[in-house]
Amino acid sequence: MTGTRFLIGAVGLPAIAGLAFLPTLVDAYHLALGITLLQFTILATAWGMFSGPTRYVSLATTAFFGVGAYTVAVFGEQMPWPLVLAVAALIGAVMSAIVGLATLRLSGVHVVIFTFGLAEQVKQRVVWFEVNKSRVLGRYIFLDISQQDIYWQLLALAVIVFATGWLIARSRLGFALRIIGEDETVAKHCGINVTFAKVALFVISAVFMTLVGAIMAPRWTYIEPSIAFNATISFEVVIMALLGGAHRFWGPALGAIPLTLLFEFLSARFPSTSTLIMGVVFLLIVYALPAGVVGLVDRMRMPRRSSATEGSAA
Amino acid sequence: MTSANAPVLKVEGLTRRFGGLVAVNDMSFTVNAGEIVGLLGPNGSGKTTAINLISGALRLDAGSVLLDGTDIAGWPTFRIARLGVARTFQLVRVLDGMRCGDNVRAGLAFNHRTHQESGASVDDLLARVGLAGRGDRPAADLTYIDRKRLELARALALRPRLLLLDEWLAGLNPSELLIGIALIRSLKEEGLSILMVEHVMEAIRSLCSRCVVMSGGRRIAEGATDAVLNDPTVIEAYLGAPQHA
Repeated sequence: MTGTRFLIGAVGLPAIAGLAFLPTLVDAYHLALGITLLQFTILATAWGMFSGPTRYVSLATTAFFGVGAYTVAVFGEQMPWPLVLAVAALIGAVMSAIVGLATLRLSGVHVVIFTFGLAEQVKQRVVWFEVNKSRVLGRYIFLDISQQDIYWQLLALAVIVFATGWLIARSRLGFALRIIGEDETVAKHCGINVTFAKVALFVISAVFMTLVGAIMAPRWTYIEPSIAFNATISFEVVIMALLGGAHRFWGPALGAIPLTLLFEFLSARFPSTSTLIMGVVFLLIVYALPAGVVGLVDRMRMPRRSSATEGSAA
Repeated sequence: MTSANAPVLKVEGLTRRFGGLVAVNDMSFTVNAGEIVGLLGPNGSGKTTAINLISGALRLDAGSVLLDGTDIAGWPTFRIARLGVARTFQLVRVLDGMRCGDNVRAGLAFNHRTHQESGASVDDLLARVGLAGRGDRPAADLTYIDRKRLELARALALRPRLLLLDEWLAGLNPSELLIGIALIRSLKEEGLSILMVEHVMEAIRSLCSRCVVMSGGRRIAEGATDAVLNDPTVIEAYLGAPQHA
C-alpha cells in the first residue's frame, strides 16, 4: 500500500509539474490538443465517479457542461473570474441535487432516457429564454483569458478531480457506494441512506462537469445553445469511461486519452469518414475489452493475487 | 431481569395489499426479549411479506410496528436497520464482489450504535458464525452454508435488538442443519430476540418457544410451539381439510 502511494507520488508529482510547463514548450495546435485531452479526462473521470459505482448510465454530461458555459456567458464580464467559477459550481450543485432527488429512484434504462431528456430540456429552455426574453440567439464572451490559462485551470481541476476520486474511494461514502453497486437491498438493510449517497455523488460529479464547461467557455468567444449543449459530448464521455473502465476512479482517464487522440487523428486524416471508422473502432474495443482497460489490468494482476491467498491459506 | 418479558417487537393490525390481493391481513403478534418466535405457514401465506414490512423493505398499508415501544411503521429501511432490526434473506444475499471481511464491515460501518460502543470486530463476528480466518477470502468462493453464515455475520454486525431470519436453515443438508440449529440456539442464549420464518419442523420444535401461523395473509394460530403444531386449524392449512373416509 505505502509502496503504491510512493509510486503515485514519485511518478505523479513530476508528471503534473511537467504537464504544467507544457504550454511554454509546444505550439498552438498541441496546446489545443492538450486542452481537449484534459477536458475529456475530467469529464470522463467525473462521469465514472457517479456512474461507476451506481451503474447508472447518465447522458446529462452536456447539461451541466452547457450550464457552466452559459454561466460564464451571462456573468463573465460582471464578476471577478473566481467568483464566476464559484457561481457556476453552485448552479451545477443545486441543479444536480434537484435532478438527483427527482430521478435517482428510477432504475436502469429510465435513467438513460431521463438524463438525455434533461440535457435537451435545459437546452430548449435556454433557447426559449434567449429568444423571448434576452432577444439574442448567441452570446459573445470577451474575457482576458488565454489558451494557456484555460490549460492550467483544467490541469488544476484534473488534479482536484483525481484527488477527490481517490479520497471518495477510501471514505465511508465510497464504501457505501461499493455496497450499493453490489446490492442495493443489502445496502439499505445495513443502515445506508442510499438516496443520500447517490445524490451526494451525483452532485460532486456534476459540479466538476459544470466547472469544465465554465473553464472552456472563453475558448469559443461566441456561444449558442447548440454549441454549449452538444449531445455528442455526453455520448463521447460514456464511450471513453466505458473503454477505460468505470469501476475504478482512475479508469475513465485510460479511455479518455487514447480515444481523444484517436478522434483527433481520424477527423484530421479522414474528415469525411471519421464517424464511420470511429464506430468500427468502438465495436472492436467492446469485443476485445468488455471490462475496459481497467479490467485488462485487473486480469493481469489477478493470477498473482489468488496464488498468494492460496499460499497463505495452506 | 425485569425486562425479560417485555415485548421487543409488537405488531398490530399489520396489513399490506398488492392490488386486490391482501398479502398480509390484520396481523398481530409479539416477540418478547430473548425469545425465538417461529413464523409459519404454507407457501404464499404472506410470511416473507410480513418480514419485509417489519424491516421496511415494503411499505405497509395499515397497522403499527413497535420496536421497544417506538413505532417504526413507514420508516425508511436504513433507519429501521440503524435502530436495530437486522435480517437475512430467503434467497441468500452476499456481496460477491467483496471479501468476506468487507461483507461484515458493511454491517458495522453505517450503524451509529456499533460505532459508539465499538462492539465486536470483523474477526470476532466471522469467528462467531464459524468463518474464523476467512476475512481475506472472496465472498464468491464460499460454499452455500458458508454464504448463509456470512450473511448472518453481517446481520449480527448491526448489533440487532431483533433478528429476522427468512428461511435461514432452508437448503442445508442434515449435518449442516444441526450446525445451523446450534448456531441459532447460541444466539438466543446470548439474549438475542429472533423472529424466524421456517419450514424445517425439526428446527422449529427445537428452537422456537412460541409460533405464529399464517394462512392466506391472516394469523390462524399463535401460542406455544407444541400446541400450535397440533392445532387442527394449522394441520388443515398445511394438509387441506381431513378426508372423511
